[in-house]
Amino acid sequence: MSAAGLALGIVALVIVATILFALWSSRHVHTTPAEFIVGGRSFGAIFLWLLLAGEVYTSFTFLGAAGWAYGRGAPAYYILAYGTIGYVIGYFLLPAIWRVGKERGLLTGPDFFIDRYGSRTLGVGIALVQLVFMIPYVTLQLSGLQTLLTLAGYGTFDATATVGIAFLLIALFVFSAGLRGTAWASVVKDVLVLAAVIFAGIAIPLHFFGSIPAMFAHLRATHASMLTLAPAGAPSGTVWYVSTVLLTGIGFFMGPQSFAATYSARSENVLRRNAVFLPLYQVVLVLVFFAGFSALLIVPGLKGTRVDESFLLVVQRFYPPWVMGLVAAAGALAALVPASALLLGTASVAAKNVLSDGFGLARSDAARVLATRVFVLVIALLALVLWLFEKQTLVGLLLIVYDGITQAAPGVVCAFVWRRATAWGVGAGVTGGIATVALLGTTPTPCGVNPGFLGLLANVVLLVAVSLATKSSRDGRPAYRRAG
Amino acid sequence: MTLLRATLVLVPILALTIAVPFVNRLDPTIFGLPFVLFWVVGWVFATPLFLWFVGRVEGRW
Repeated sequence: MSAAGLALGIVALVIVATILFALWSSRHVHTTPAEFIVGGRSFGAIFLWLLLAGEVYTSFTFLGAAGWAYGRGAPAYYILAYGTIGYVIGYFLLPAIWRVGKERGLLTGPDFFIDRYGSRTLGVGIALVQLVFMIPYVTLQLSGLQTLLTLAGYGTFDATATVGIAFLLIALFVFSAGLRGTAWASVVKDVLVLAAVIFAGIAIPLHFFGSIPAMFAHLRATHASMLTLAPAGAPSGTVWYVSTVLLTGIGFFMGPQSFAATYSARSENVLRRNAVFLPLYQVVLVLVFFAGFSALLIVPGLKGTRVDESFLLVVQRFYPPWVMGLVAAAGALAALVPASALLLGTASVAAKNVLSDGFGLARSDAARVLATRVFVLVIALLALVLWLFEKQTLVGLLLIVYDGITQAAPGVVCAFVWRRATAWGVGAGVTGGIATVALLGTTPTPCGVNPGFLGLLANVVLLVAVSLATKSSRDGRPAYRRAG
Repeated sequence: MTLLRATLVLVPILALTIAVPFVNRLDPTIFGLPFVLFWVVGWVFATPLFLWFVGRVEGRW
């Protein structure tokens, strides 16, 4: 059998086996919206850990983080820090979101805004923002998948069609299995990804350099300037680092898939326990950095979007095809399993908050589940189209996503801590935040601050100013006061 | 108690954000890692301890 045949065969086998396992494990799902979208609010600490780890650690973790370590060095450290900040914030925020979600029967992020601020228009607006910014996040998974399949194919074939097929397979999977299916698929994904990064982050440096410190010594001799951050004003310097960590840490749990995971918990303490222990999972990222740095020394010279190939190219060139197959399979699941959570979370927002709240359609439970399923397929297709036309590095895509998604954060926090916050204030804040990001675009900012962070500041200022100038229709709802 | 909680929360956040420009150095290397990388990795793994202690202070476990 050819190398490509063996490696791709392993990838295909793992993907199909994972889907079958997850479908079998979630076969008793009752398709009410609450069961389909938030798992019936029944997940315990371990199941939620699997789901969160499953959706947080994506193909971006697997390839993008290594690609940044390879291509830029120290700026990649931000990836380690922001998730950790996200968990610290999540320790306080997620139980509060969960409590009002349970008390008020909420299923999505925009539901939360509609309920607290008493404005359906605001909810529809937030839903549209989430739709627009989540599609690139799904696209990011497709780019990762393409990189993996191309390398596992040893240059023998064009992966475009295969990526499309794998992706539609996962869309059909989440169409039938819902959130519970994603959590079960995460079991396989987490085990395989952990094995693959231990191999890539430990075995590769040991094999080529003898030890990890020896690898860093080599790196220091040849690329010393890459191992620390550039000074304050420089692009990707220290100011950029701090502002990016804050922006992405604050936005960490603001995506539709995070609201779904939060509402799926059985109790508040399940969420707190997860916030405490999930930072330990970041060890995966440390190992991925080691793999990316090793690749820089072993296969130098990759440029542009090709940096995402980094350690996979080492595996392809220096290890047998079955190893390549297993590593690529782990990576493929790291793209597909989070993609299923992203598709489901985004589709439930589109069905509930755009179709029902915005247009008054699909209001019964059965119709809502059907609409969510249809949107899973529609959003999958939109992400595929975007992917065919727009190629970016994985981190580049991720930063665009966070610029937009994080803008929901001031409205979520103020829901609990500031009674005077109004729908007009939140709406003005989100609009101003996104307008700021769009206006700044890719132009250099003062001291290299992340433009999304400036957007967030504009958002907060507008939220406060406009809230003070308008009157809230439901001033500080009691459920939110208690939860805060 | 509120002060203790606030401290436990703020220390890891500050350590991973505004402290980083001040430890942005190669030396001393620890376990072979450049100092700034060691600092970030160390705080990532110390954060669960801080959050767990917050839970203790709040009487969650």
